[in-house]
This record gives sequence, structure tokens and C-alpha cells, in this order.
Amino acid sequence: MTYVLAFYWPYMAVALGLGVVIGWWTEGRREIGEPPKSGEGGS
Amino acid sequence: MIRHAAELWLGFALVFLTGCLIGSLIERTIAQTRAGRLQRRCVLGLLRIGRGILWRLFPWRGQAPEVPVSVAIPAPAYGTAVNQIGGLVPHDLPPGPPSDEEEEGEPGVGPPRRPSAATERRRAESLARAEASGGHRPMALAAPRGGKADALIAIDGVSRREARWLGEIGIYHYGQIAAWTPVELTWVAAYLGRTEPVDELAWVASATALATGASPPKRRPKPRPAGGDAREIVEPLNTEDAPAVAPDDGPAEARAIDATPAAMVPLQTTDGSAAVGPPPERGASVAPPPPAAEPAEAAAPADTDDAGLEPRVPAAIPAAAEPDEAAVPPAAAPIEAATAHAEPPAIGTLPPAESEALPPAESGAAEPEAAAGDTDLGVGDDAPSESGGAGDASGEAAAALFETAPPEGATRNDPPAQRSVALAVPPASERPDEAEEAPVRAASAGDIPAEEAQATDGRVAGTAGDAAEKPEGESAPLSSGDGALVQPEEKTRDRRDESAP
Repeated sequence: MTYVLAFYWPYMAVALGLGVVIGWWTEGRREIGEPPKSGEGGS
Repeated sequence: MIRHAAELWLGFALVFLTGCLIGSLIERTIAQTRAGRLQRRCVLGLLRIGRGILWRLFPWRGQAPEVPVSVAIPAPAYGTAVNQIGGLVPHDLPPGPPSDEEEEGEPGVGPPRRPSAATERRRAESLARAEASGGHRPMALAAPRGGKADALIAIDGVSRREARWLGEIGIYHYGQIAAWTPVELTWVAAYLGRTEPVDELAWVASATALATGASPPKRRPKPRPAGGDAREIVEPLNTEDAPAVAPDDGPAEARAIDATPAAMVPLQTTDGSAAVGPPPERGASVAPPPPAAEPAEAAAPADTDDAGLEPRVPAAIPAAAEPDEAAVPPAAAPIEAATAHAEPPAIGTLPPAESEALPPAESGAAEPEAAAGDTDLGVGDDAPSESGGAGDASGEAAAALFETAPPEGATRNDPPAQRSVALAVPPASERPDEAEEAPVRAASAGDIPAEEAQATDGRVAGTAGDAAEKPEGESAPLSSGDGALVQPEEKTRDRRDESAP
């Protein structure tokens, strides 16, 4: 697992940032009460 | 290698899920601070932008109408149409129920009126009568379509009151009546109180024509009362070969009326019956259409029509007054029928000398004129013939011979003298009008040889007694009848005056 972080940490950072944005966006829509549209995922 | 890849992708998933958790925590944290509104605006703005992008990329999305979760379906409006079928009395009558007292107005139009007790009773009786008729009540409408009912009175045989009664049971349109079955028609006929057979009612056909915009069928002519106008019966013969039918004019009409009884006499004499004034149907049947005397056929039914007190073919007489035309007096056809029996018995009954004593013809029609002269044998009293020797006595004697002698051995090719004598046998004084009109036929027959004219038209020549060509006072009436009808003398005189040149 160490060599993954050693060699792929930039990719791991992009995945982390993407997760943060998606997490924030999903939570923000839920807060404003926007219902998720069909096909767009979400709960 | 596989383990290395698994470790790699598992690392990415863990990092991504960790980022989502961190992002969610960040958003909730920011929402609880002042920046929560701004964060909210940012989210809305991003949503709007995202929608705009999606609208540009997928313009068809969101255009389909949204399917409602539930649709309000109205209850079936069967209305009173169904309810009226079962009951005798419709409990939801359309406006304007007709009554016996009020006859004006259109059905279904106007404010609703409360029917009176009499109307209710009449309605109940009508419906009960209809139900007892064994028919089926036709489908009704609660109200006219479009609020306007058709004028059912335009249907053949439907009166105004019946149209109102039809509106009372929910019949408003031609199409409804056009769809009636015979069973329904029976019901309606009983409801309206019609007593005639249903197959005589032309309501459905008439309503169909009116509904489709076609010309309505003609009303069937009602039979005229017997003894009234005989035109209906004689008309076929009249229209078939009656070019002489012409509008009435004064003197011609008068002459036609005067000539009527004379034309009827030979019809009777041929049958041997002594009754005066045969029915017009009989005259039409007795006078068959011979090929040589078409105008006579045209005139004969006209005379029989006169029995109906209406001069129908007065132009036949003025045509007969003109010698150049081939018009034949109205009595010609009956005379033909009479001569069919009259010719044979007369042959040989008179001596040849008497036949030879006949005067020569004055006009171009030699033989017919001679025959006309023969007819003078029986005149004597008011119109002496040129033969001079013949009088009432000889005429009566000849008439007696004519009546008693059976028809034997006579042919149409008999000598002219014999034929003329045969035709001269009946008393001529009783048929003066016939005698005055027949010479026209004789004049027309003068274009052919005497023998031929005698062979073909001997009977016509026998009727001759031309008042138009003979001198005044010499109109020699000829009679082939048995004297059953006595012609008034003033009529003869008047006719002689009119026909005199």
C-alpha cells in the first residue's frame, strides 16, 4: 500500500478533491430542497 | 500484478469516499455559518448553470408535458334519456311540454311550463296506449342538440301538434326519426294516436330525406272521392295520345260541355244497355285506341272526363270545327265501338235502292259525305237531309232493324253503301252533336279514295253530319245509338250556330 501512495499520490489527491466537491454539492442540493431529477442519481 | 492493481483502485475509492465525506462536512459547517447564504446562492447558481448547459446540450429534455398523477373523469351523463326508457312518464321533461290547448310554438323551445292536469292525463294515456301497442319506445334526447330542434312539422304526415308531442318524448331531430325501426314507429304511431297502418306512414323516409338534405319524397296522392273528378282515371289515356288538350277558352269550352252527352251515348248502345250517362271509366275502356282515329281517342276520354263536370278537352271540338285538321269529334271513339256491332246487322236490312238514293257528296270527301247523308235518314225533324226521302219513320224503322238484327256476316270491306246504311240505322235525331262533328272526320278522310276511306273509316264517316260544311240548318246529326239519350234540341241548335261558317 505504501508504494501506491508513493507513486500515485497525485491521483489520490485528485480523487480526494473530487470526492470533496461531490460531497459538498450533494449536501448543498439536499439542503436547498432541490429534488434530484431522474437519471441524475442522488437519493 | 493483479494485487497491485487492486490495491491501486481500492486506494482511489477510499480517497474518493473520504473526499465526499469531507465535502459533506464542509458544506454543513459552512451552512451553519454566515457563509451559508452565500453557499446556498452558489449552489443555486451552479444549478442554473447546469440546467442551461443541459438545455443547450439536450434541448428536447423537459418539453414533454408532465403526465398528471390522476385525471378527473366526469361521471357518465346518461341523463334522462336512459331514465325515460323504463318509465311511462318521463320525469325530466324537456322544456315546453305540449298540451292540447296550446297549438302554437315549436317543441323544445321556450321556458319550461308546468303541464296542466289535463295535459298530464293525456300524456299518460298516450304513453299507456303506446306501451300497449307492442312497439318499443325510441331513444330520446334530454334536450335538442345545440339547443335547437328540427322542424318536425316538415315531415310528411306530421302535424304541428304531433311535432310537439314528439318533442315531448324527446324526439327533436330528423335523424332520430330516420333511425326508427318499424317497431319504434309502431310505438310512436300509437303514442300519437294514429290509426292507419304503420307501413302507410312515410315519416322515416321523409325524415331521412330531410336529415340528408335530399328532396323530400312526394306526398302520395290521396284517392279522390268517387263521383267527383274523373280526371284521375281518364288521364292516362288522355295524356297518352291527346295532343288536343289545350287551355280552356270560352266558346270552345261551351261546345265541349254540350258535346259530352252525345259522346256517352254510343258507349251505352254498344252494350245494349238503356241507361243514360255511362261512367267515365267505362267509356275509357269501351273505346280502344284504333290506329286510324287517334284524335278520336284523344277526344273520347275527354268526353268521359266531362262526366266529372269539368270540361277537360275543349280544344277537341274547335279542332273539329276546322276542316283542314284531322281532329275528330269526341264521339268518334265511342262510335267506333258502336259500329263494331252496328255494321253487320244493318247490312242487307235496307234495300239497295235506299242506299243508292243517297245524295252525292258535297265536299271532297265523297264517300264519307254520302255516309253522312245516310245518317240524315233518321233526322227528319230538325235537320232534313238532302236525300229528302228519308224521314223519321224510315229512321225509326232502320233503328228497329238495327236493334233487332244480329251481327252476322259483315266485314269491314263491305260496300260503302251498305256500311253507310248500317251506320245510319239508329235514330239520328238523338245524337245531333255527334252528327255535326263527324263530318270533319269525313272531310279529313276525303284525302284518300272513297273506298279506302270507307273501308277504314266507315264508322267515322257514318257519324258524319257536318255542320261546318253543310248549309245552315242542315246539320245532319247521325246516331248509331239506340236512342237512349235524348239530346236537347237547343243544344243542337246552338252547336249548329257555332259551327256554321
